[in-house]
Amino acid sequence: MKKITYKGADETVYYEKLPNGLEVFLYPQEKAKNFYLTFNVKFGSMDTEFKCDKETKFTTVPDGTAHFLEHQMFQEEDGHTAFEYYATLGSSINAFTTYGYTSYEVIGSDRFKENLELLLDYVQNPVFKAGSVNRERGIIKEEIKMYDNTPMSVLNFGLEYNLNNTDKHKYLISGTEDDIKEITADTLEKCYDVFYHPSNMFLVLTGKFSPLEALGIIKTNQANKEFASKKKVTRKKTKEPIEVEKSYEERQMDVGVPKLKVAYKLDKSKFKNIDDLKLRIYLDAILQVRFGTTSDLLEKMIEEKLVPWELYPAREVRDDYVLLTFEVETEYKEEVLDLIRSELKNIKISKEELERVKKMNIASFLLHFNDILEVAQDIQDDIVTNGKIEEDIMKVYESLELKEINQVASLIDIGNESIFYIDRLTV
Amino acid sequence: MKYDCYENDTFNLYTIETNKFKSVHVEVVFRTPATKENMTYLAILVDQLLENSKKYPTRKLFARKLADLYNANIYASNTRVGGMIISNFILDFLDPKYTSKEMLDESIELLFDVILNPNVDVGEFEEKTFERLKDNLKKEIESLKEDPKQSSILEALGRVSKDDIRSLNSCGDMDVLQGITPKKLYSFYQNFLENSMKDVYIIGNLDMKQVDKAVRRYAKFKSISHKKDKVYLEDLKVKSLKDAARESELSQTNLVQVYSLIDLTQKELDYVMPLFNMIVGSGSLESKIYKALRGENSLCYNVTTFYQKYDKTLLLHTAIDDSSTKLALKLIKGCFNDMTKGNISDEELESVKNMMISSLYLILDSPNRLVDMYLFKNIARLPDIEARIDAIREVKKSDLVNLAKKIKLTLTYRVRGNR
Repeated sequence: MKKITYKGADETVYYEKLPNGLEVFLYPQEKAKNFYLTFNVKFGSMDTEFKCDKETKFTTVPDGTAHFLEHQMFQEEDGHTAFEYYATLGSSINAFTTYGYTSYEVIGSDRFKENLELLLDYVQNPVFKAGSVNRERGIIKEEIKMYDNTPMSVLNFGLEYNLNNTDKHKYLISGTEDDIKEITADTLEKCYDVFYHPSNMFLVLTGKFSPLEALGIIKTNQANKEFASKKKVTRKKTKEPIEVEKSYEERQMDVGVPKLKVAYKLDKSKFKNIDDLKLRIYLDAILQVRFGTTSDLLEKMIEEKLVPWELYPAREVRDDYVLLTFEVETEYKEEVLDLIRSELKNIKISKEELERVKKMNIASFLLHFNDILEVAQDIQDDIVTNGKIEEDIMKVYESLELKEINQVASLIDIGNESIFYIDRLTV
Repeated sequence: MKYDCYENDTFNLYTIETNKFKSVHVEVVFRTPATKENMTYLAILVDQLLENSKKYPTRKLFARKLADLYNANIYASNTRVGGMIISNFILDFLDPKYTSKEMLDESIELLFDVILNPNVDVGEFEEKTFERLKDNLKKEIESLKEDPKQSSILEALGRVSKDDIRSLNSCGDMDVLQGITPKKLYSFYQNFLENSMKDVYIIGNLDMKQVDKAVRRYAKFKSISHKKDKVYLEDLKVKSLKDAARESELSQTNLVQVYSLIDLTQKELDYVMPLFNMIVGSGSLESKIYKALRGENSLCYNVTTFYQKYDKTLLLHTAIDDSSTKLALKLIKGCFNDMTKGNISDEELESVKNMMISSLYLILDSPNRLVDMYLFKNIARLPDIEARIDAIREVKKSDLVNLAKKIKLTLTYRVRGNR
């Protein structure tokens, strides 16, 4: 096993890649009482157009397929479910689907071996029967309606729809009610065969267990299974234009305070001299200093009663563009938007501010090791985003430079803006 | 983990010495009786105290001080637990071994500065900040309707008994809020400091004798309260009500049921009822109601029962298509009948026992849950985890059947979705 040490934190992750391509990340924590196991597949809601090996045509599946498959994976033979088996062990299981991957998770405190084997077995032994697929469709339909009744979901997914043209972030992770009508047992089986190959999956185990024992269990389990040969999967890529598809949308819902979310799409090629990791850190720092709790702008907005609490800034560095978003509850949409735009046009970070951000980053990095779930989440994010664990993030924090952060700040422009606003119902 | 208690003149300091975490977790815990007035005053008081202090008179300066303390975090919450409100003022900061020794003293000083040295002007809280926070709290109360689950449950409880404390949300009451002034709030605050029961809890890899000295230096409380806690509410003894409903703009119907738990023994409250709740509706997707509604009939994405131990109620919530209501109610009734008739397999009982034991072990990996465990050991005499596990193991099927007879459906309530 390869040892990966997080510098500055005195914490270790063990890594091994099995002959079938499955990657295993183990973070044993002897002080913990519980363990957290995740089995992850690099198959997310955006993977709807793909081809394998030398296929010439792309296969297209409906939006929501990865999420539907996640639901279906809990079904076992003869009408049983994975929940039943885990209930006897006293462990909790769940799963979630993101834009980029699907994760199956277990939390338990006892019978580690059985928990781990069961996770490997239920995810690698799917059941696709029309009856159970139809039952699951009804459940997902109610899940979609539930999100449709939640203002924050409407705000977030509504904005993604409007700001993207062809990028798959545009579509709901769950798909729409119409999408899921199109998904059949065959669709799910096809996607399972393509994406659920060990070489496209990774395990992350954190908490109380012995790494040698864990690896032994995994190796034995995988050696006793047969897998098809590894396929080369090509996902269809389209170049997302930098322009937003729709710049404004307003909806009415039964809300106490109106909700605003605004996004700015930035041309990623402008930041080509900075790697993605550092770009993320710089953008986080800029947003924290200029729009976070320590900022002059937030204080002004609160003092003038334009916003009641916080202004939630966020960033994403995607394949084709960089995204800055601001989410806020406000009755003064225009005033708030003007202030955000004006601030984005005039960002200058001081040495003192950069030093404060460095301190905050270091603390935040160390505190993640308090929680075995957060460590797992960090590893998942690292693998999906960068393909590897970032061992020396402290060094990256220490290398942040005033000149460079201000250069990043100067490249922010507000030309491509999309706004989604949820107003109160009018009688 | 090494547990200790340091008795001081006006409070007790409870310590848990452990090298398990990279942070230090401190909670100052106040206990006050749960009334509509206290709930509302505390909701705005907590916001007021966390906004700024005499030393850091603006929100921004306070936030910058926290950032300079390596992103220390100070936050607070009010939680009603049966007949009392627990107000926690919480401080989390990086173990000083990663920063500097001074961080311990500086961080603890800041926490008590927030609690004891607010931004006050001649006997009243600074007015401009107060008015803004009052306005925010009004918005928060109005925004409760955005969460269909929470709002439908509170509405149902309000229908059972309008003036019952169970139906009050944690933001308080709009009418009470309207009448609060900066002066009245300051007077409440003084009374709160003087008459609430208060304790300090701390978890970390620290020399706790030094911690005790530091806490004594800054926790300058003037008095100690000897009032007795009243944690459990009286049984909710009301006649069963006719089904009730109201229309909404939602696309799903939110279905709520309120069950009263009558004359439960301490063993039933502590061990039998939690297991009953897990078997019938909260354990996992394997609970009886989950299987009936979701697994077998695809009626919903989520259905859960909530056991409110100190309120002596069991609540049920699901969101479904309105046309499925009749079938859902029939299936739910069938699940409760199964419990009364003892249609509970040995495997079901064993599974929920294992799940409950696992959930107890989760406490040991979280600083916040460890404090809760310590606190409830003090206020509700909850035994240690190992003793609780032994008691869970002892519960028999006959205990569950006997308990089922003491559970009474009081109200079925629907917020109807028609969109």
